[in-house]
Amino acid sequence: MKRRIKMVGVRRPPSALLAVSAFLLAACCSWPLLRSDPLIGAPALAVIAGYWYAAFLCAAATDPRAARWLVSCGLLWAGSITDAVPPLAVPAIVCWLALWTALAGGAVLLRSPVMMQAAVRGKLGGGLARRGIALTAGVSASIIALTSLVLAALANRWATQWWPGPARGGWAIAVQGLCAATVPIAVAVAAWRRRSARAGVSALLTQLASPPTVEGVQSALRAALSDPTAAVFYRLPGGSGFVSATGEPVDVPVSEPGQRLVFPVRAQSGEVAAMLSVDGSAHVDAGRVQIALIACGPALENARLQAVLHSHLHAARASRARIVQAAVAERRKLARDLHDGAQQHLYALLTSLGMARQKTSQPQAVAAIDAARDQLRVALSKLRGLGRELYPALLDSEGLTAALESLADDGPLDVDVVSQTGRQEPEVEIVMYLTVREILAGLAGHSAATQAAVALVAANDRLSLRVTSDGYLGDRAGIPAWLSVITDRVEADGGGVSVKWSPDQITALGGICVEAWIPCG
Amino acid sequence: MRGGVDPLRVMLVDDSVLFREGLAALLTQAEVEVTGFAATRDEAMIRIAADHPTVVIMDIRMPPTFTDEGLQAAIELKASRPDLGILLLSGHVEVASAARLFEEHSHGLGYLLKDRVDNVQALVASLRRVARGGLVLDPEVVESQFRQRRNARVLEQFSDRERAVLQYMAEGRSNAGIAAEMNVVVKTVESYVASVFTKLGLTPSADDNRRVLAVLAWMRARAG
Repeated sequence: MKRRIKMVGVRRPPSALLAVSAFLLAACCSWPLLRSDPLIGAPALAVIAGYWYAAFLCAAATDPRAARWLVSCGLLWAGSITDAVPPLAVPAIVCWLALWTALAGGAVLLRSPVMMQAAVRGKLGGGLARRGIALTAGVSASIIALTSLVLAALANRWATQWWPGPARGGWAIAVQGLCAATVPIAVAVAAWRRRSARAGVSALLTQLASPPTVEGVQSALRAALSDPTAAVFYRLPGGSGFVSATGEPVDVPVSEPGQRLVFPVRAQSGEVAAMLSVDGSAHVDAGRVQIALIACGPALENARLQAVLHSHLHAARASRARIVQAAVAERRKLARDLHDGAQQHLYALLTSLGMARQKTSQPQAVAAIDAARDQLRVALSKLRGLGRELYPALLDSEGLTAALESLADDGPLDVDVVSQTGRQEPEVEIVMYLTVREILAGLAGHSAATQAAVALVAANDRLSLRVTSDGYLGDRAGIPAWLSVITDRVEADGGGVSVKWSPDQITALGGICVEAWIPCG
Repeated sequence: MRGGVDPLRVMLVDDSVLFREGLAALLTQAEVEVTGFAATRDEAMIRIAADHPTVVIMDIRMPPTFTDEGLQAAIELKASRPDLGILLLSGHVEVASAARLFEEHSHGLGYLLKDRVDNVQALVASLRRVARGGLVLDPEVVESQFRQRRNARVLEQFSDRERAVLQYMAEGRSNAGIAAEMNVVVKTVESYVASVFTKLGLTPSADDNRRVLAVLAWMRARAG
């Protein structure tokens, strides 16, 4: 049975702290302007703060939408100078606007999809290329900003020449300068953050437990990538599908745009050894992922061996469970066949004998028929017993509790049944019924028990059994053979058995205590 | 209450054709009219509406699940046709199901093991009792209660004779009938019955049904 791993990404907001600090800084810078000339100061404040934030978003490529934001901020900025520049300076402003929009907007808009693509591809080369792109973008953005600053200063100068008025151009240049300065700062901050995150990855991964476990590798990767949903899926040797860390078969993980990003992990031989699936709803630093994967490479290979082992264990367990289920189904079918087949024929025979008995009055014939009827009754009773042995009818009609009470009445032990469970799945009921029956038979046959108490509780998806008895197992070491047969079936069904006994012979209940549980519900 | 002179019209509901035919032949020979057969609950409902039998002999286990379809059908039939007698046949002693049915209805019901079908006189007597609105309970059901360990303490207080009387009572026999079975006089039986009721803490009664119900009440009390 394949399990589809579904993980919903957590959307991480791009550094809100940075935005707040940018706003505060902008407020400090534009405070004198705000006081002296609120008409220009207020939009200037907004523009600086917004621009700073947008520049950072762009530099960190957290969100392609930031690029569009940056362009609109640029236009707003242009608006702030038009206030300082007379309408007559239109040719200069148009030139400046066209140049700025073409360079800044175009470059940023173009670079974002390229970067995202590189991250999605997730190749090591992609990481390097990505770094290159970021560098180019940072430098080009800085150049654009400086150029536009110079152009704006020139435009201002022309404006004051052509249209004398209150000298507000100086402030405008200061605001524009601050805006322009944010771009290289943002690029530097983003680069620094990325670098420190990557350094953190290596530091975290060196703390991997030795020997590395599947859980250890997964939790180290989660911590290193700050992604609590990151998961590693290991490929089974021979290319026969993927398994989760616990060894359960899963579908081949694939990237889902906006949801999950999947990175292949290659072994030294070059084949894909595993897949790392991370939250793809926010920006994924592919370089950071690659560093993490390289750092835990050997650990991942070890973990893969472990996962493969888990998967074999998983398959073996599933196969054992299927064998038990098949045996149970077979028992049920046999019991039903016995009841609906052979038994019905014998009942029909009984009616025929009754008929024959009616038709004759010859003493010898009557005696012979009566003898046959008696034999037939014995046969029917034996057949009923056999059917009950295979699959008690009470289990189907009345459930486990009733069947166990009936079992308690029929056996050689004095048994007290306390059951706190309602109806369960038929497979659960029959496995538990057989378990109790065999434990009671074992206690009676091998431990000289005379009485037993059976307690059954269904809680937390488990049907738990506790059988206490006055039996005596002596000072033997190890589990008695009759109990290991029971243990095998219970464990195959995904449950467990434990037994405790007193080395001294005691007459009260508690000499032997067998506990067993199977999953239910 | 209808008299015993009414002709018995019996319908057989069982998914085993062989058994159905055998039982029909046996009943026909004993001059009981068999109105028809059905193999499933749905079929039975249609035939009963068409043929108007006085008693339905019904197997407890029937298709599709072979668990207690017959019992469910009986509960349904009793709700819609209280006068219809129903004799349930079972391959197993299922005290709980029997007790559940008798708990709800105390008229015209019977519960017999399939093993009883070779004794045609007893079978016809049971059918007549059910048709008259009486109750019939298989002695094996009562005996299985006697066998049960948790009932042992309660049963220790009964003498062998009292146990026998209790069993006959469960079969729905009158004091005279029990007296005939046990080869004693009716007065002796009456004293046994009184003693059984006293030991069970039940009010003595002459009514057959109430005696069976008393036995069932005792069984339920023990099983619970």
